[in-house]
Formats: sequence, C-alpha cells, structure tokens
Amino acid sequence: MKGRRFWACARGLQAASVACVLLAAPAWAERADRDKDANVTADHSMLDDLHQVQVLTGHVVLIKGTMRLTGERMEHRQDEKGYQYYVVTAAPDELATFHERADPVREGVESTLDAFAERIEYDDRSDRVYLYRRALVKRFENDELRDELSGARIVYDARHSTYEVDGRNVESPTGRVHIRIAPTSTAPAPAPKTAAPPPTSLKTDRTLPEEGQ
Amino acid sequence: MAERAASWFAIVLVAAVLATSYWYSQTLRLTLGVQTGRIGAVDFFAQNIALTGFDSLGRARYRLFADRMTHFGNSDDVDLDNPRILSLRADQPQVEATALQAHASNNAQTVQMSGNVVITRAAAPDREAMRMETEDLSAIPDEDHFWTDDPVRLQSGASVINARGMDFDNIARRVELLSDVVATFPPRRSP
Repeated sequence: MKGRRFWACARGLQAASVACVLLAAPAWAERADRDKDANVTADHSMLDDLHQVQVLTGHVVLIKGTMRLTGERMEHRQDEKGYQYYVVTAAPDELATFHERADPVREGVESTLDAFAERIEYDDRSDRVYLYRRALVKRFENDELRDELSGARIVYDARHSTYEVDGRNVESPTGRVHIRIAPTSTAPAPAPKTAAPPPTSLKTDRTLPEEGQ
Repeated sequence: MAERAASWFAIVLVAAVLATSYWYSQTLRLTLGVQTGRIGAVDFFAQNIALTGFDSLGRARYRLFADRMTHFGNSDDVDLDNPRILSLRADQPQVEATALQAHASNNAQTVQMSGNVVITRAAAPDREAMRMETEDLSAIPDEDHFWTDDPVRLQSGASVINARGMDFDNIARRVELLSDVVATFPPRRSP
C-alpha cells in the first residue's frame, strides 16, 4: 500500500512540476568507501601548487572502494582539514559517470547506484554527489533496475541517503523532473529484522545549492 | 768508414727523435683522454665544496654543496659529484635538489642532473611539503624551471602521483605531468 502511494506521488510530480523533490533512498552508500584511498588514472595532469588545485585530463577514472567516477576532466582539491573535492566533466556529447555500491539493508540484496551527468561533483566532506545537466540516476537491486530519476540537477546525499532533484536550470527554466520508483511490495527479498530500510519519504525542498558550490 | 759511421749515427738519431716524439704524443693523448672527456681540458677541481651564489643586490640566492667539482676551462662547464643545491629565496618555501651527478653548462645556465634525483619543496603554512623523484632531470636554475621525460614520483603530504614526464615551473608553482598519470589520494584521517 505504501509503495502504491509513493508511486502515485512520483507520477504526480512527473506530470506537474518543475519543483525540487527530496527522496529517501532505501540504502546507504557503502561506508567503508570513505576510509579507502582514491586512486585516479589520467593521461595528463596540471598541479597548481600555489592554489593547491590539480586538474587531470584525458580518460580520467577515479576508484575509491566501490565508488567509481569517470570523465574527461577532473579537478581535485583538498582543504586544510584533509577533505577531498572532485569535479568531473564529460567530453562533448558524452556524460560523466558515477557508480557506487550501497551497504546492504536486506539480506541477499545488493544495491548499486549509477549516475550520469555532464558535470559531477563529489564532496568528501559532506558525502554528497552533485549532478549537473542531463542528470540521471539509476538504482539497481541485484542488477534489476528499481528507481530512476532524471532532471537538470540531482544531488545525492550518500550520508543521509536522499536525493534532491530539480528540473530547472538556466537552459531549461521550465524543465521537468522525471522519477520512476519501483513499489516496495515487489522487493526481491524480505528485510532482515536487525536492519530495517530507512523510511521512504517524499517532500518538496527548495534548498538545492547553486552549481559550483 | 768514418762517413758510414756518421750516416748510421744520423739515422739512429733521427729514429730516436721520431720514437720520442711518438711516445710523447701517445702519452699526451692518453693524459688528455682521462682528464678532458668530451668538453675540453680540466683546469681545476675542488673537493667538498660549499658555494654561495648572490643576486645583483647582493642577496644570497642559492647554496651549492658537492663532494667534488670538476671545472673544464675551455667550455666553462662543471661536473659535480653528489650535488646538493638549496634555493634561498626569502619569499618562497625552500627548494632543495640532490642527485648523484650533475653537469652544468653555458655558465650554469643549464644543468643536467642524473641518478636518484630528488627535489623537495618545504612545507608552507597553506601547503604540505612536496617531494619529486626521478632518474634524470634538466634544469634552468635562473628560471627555477625543471623538466624530465622519465618516470617521476610526486608526493605531497600523503598524496602520491606517479607519471611519465614532468615540467615543473617553481616560479609559477605549476607542475605539469605529461602522461600515464596515476594518483593516490588518501582519505582524511581523524585527528
């Protein structure tokens, strides 16, 4: 029943709105990833030692535990407290990609997330992933597509397991949000007693940060 | 009979002169080969040197240490064994370069360093110390410009970057890595 109600809300949003929405995802990003080294490969790099910014270009691939971030250009900087920031942009007519495996919340269910956008920012401090322009997020359970979101901007908060989706941007001020969420009743495996999934919620939110923050 | 003896004496004398000349030329050539190498004669060498360079205002700009410095008079080139060069720019963090060998040419306008080349830049209030390692490195000391086509390893704080080929401009503070870049950025460690 809960799943059907959620479905209806999502469809209503797709039909009607350019507003931001806040969605709770049913799994957290793998916490162990935070303690792993980030390994990056690229064709070329320019390090600005004065401003402590490194720009890597050419088939950039970042792997951090189960997290994988790819694009044509990556800007990397580290703040004075040691937190890392990555900004990945795609080659023309292509999309940067983000992949992550989530901590399991149900026995026998592996949840993964794939995201695409022209520009992807990853903030190690807040554990947030910002997707800008042609943003698309797909969540899979055991390789089966469960949820799909698209819009001009999506912010994925891995720490609190939420998405913020906005259909609007400068090029498309009346853009639309598209969300497809599979009903929970068709979940492939029951939730274990010790680790219930976080409650699924849907509410409006207009606090999406501006691009480049 | 006396004329014949005089002739033999002249022949022996000429032969002796020729032999002596040949021996001397051979000896000289071998001696030059050992001392001059590819760039002319050695006019002096010094051991355990410590040399300080100054700018036009009389401020110390760098200090050079080496186990041995060999100077070639014709070309003004210098070979250095185990060189260690310290930059003394007051407005910038100290940069130190060490290697097994170095060859300075064109009045030290260009320096070729080879063997375990290490450049370190001291930490600054807003930056962690940086260390570069490679096997061969070219430098223009007056421009603080260094480059190599060889594999290079950079370490800045706990971050490590390996690449092939580097161009380091210490005045602009830019490090360009030319190919095959592999970087490792560690996560933040809890204090």
